Amino acid sequence: MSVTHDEVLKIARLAELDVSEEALPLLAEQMSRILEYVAQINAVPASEGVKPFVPGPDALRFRADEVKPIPLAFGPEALAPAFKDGFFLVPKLGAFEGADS
Amino acid sequence: MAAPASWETVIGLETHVQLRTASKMFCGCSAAFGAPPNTNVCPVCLGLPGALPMANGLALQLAVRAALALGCTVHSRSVFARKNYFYPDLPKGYQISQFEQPLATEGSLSYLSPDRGIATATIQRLHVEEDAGKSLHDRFPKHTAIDLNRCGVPLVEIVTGPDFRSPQEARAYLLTLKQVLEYAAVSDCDMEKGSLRVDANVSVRRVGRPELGTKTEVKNINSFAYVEKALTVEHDRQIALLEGGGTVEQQTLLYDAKTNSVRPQRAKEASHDYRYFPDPDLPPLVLREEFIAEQQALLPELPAKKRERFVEKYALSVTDAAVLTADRSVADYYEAVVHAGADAKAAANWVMTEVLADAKDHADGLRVPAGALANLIGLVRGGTLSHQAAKRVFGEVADHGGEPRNVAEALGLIQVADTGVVTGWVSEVLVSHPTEVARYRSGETKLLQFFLGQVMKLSRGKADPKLAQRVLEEKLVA
Repeated sequence: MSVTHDEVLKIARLAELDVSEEALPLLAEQMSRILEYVAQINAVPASEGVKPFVPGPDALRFRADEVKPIPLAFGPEALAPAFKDGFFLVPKLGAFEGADS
Repeated sequence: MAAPASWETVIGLETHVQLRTASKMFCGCSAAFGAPPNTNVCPVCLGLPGALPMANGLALQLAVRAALALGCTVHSRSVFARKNYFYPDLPKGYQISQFEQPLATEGSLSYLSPDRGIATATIQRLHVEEDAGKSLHDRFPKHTAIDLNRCGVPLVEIVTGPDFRSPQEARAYLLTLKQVLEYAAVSDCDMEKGSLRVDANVSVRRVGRPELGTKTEVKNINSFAYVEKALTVEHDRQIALLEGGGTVEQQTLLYDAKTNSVRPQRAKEASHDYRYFPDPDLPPLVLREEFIAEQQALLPELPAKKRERFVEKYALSVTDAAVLTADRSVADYYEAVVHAGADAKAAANWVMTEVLADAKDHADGLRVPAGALANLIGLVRGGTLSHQAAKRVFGEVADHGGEPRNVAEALGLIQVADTGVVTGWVSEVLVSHPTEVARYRSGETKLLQFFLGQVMKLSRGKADPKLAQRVLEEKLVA
């Protein structure tokens, strides 16, 4: 299974990552190897009584609907490069450019 | 050359409904609306390393109730999956949702289409997920402000088939959906607070063609009034494009209510672009049959059933039953008034007029206790109060409380049925209007209503109208 350079670029775009042309061959090769490994695992005949190992309980456990927040070690302002009036700030998102001009 | 066939709109809706819980879906932060920004956040909903989700049991109960109310099959096993995408209001970089194995599928909801009468929308799936944060684009110049309080609030997403043929139908379905979910008490469905949000998939095709056109997704529709407007704008845009020889591009559009227009948000991603995979932090959601049965038993009688029962049991018209059952609290109130002894038809008239008008002016509050309204209706029926006087008593009881009879006595509104007193009022009126008496006696009998009005005026509404009319007729003949 081989990943094309175009597919690498598409994945990079979805992940909002900037990937240079020079990095494409290596990334394509690495992704191809990952997919080959997954294909190898998929080839195991799981229908013949092989049960996948799942760590933890077999089924989701519920908690009660109670407001019991886990406190933060630092306020949210310490977690972000830009914070104002209680809000995290990020550069204006593309679709809204000019919305306040 | 024959004119081209006209266009048909095809709409499918994805409705996100916040569940009525105190805490978030996977952490103990408050899910309340309106807190100062970024105050209801913790390591779990901020996606800090090492934080693990813990599922809210009530949210799952409410989700199952919503699914059952919509006639869905609730699956005994469903799986939470990570939906991966990058956006600043999603700090984990993925949303916990359900994909291949949703909580429920194959439901339906009947609604009254303005175009086709009773129509049925298919509910393809209902799944549980967590909400994202909020992006505010107009608060600071050159920046988008992010509030993560909403991050992790429990949602169900309800997906219909491409079943609606007009924006008006889509709106009618949404109003019915809201009504059902409010009855089931799973959400407050307040669009202004964002607890019910709608995305619409819209396409157009020539009438009679079986294949669907290319669809666009319209987001940011945040009021019922905008549903029709947004969908009409997009429907018109697609038709203009196609008639101009262009093609519709599959994309996500944002509706701007200020300009009543849509604009592209981002190129639409296909589901495989979200790289869904089962969330390794959350084991499968396994529901016992008894759990599902318990949730079914907790559902109240739903609006359609209640409407039918009101028509049958209380001999109401379908229209009156629809008004009385539109809101569960009003329907319950109506039944309480009837159970307190009021005549069913009279109670329906009072609730649909005075009670609903008063509620509208007082934040939907039903201010007159059901028992008091039943007593008031009884006073009118027994001839103790005129209808006009009863309306006044209703207002007084609503504003200041009290028993209707006591209030009516205090206001001097109890009808006078003493023949001697009423005869006195009648005589005074006839003496004051000799010309009208002469006209009546020469055949203008419709003047009886004029005399009756004068008697009611003179008695300040207290004269028993039936007695007054009888005395008037006797005196005018004499």
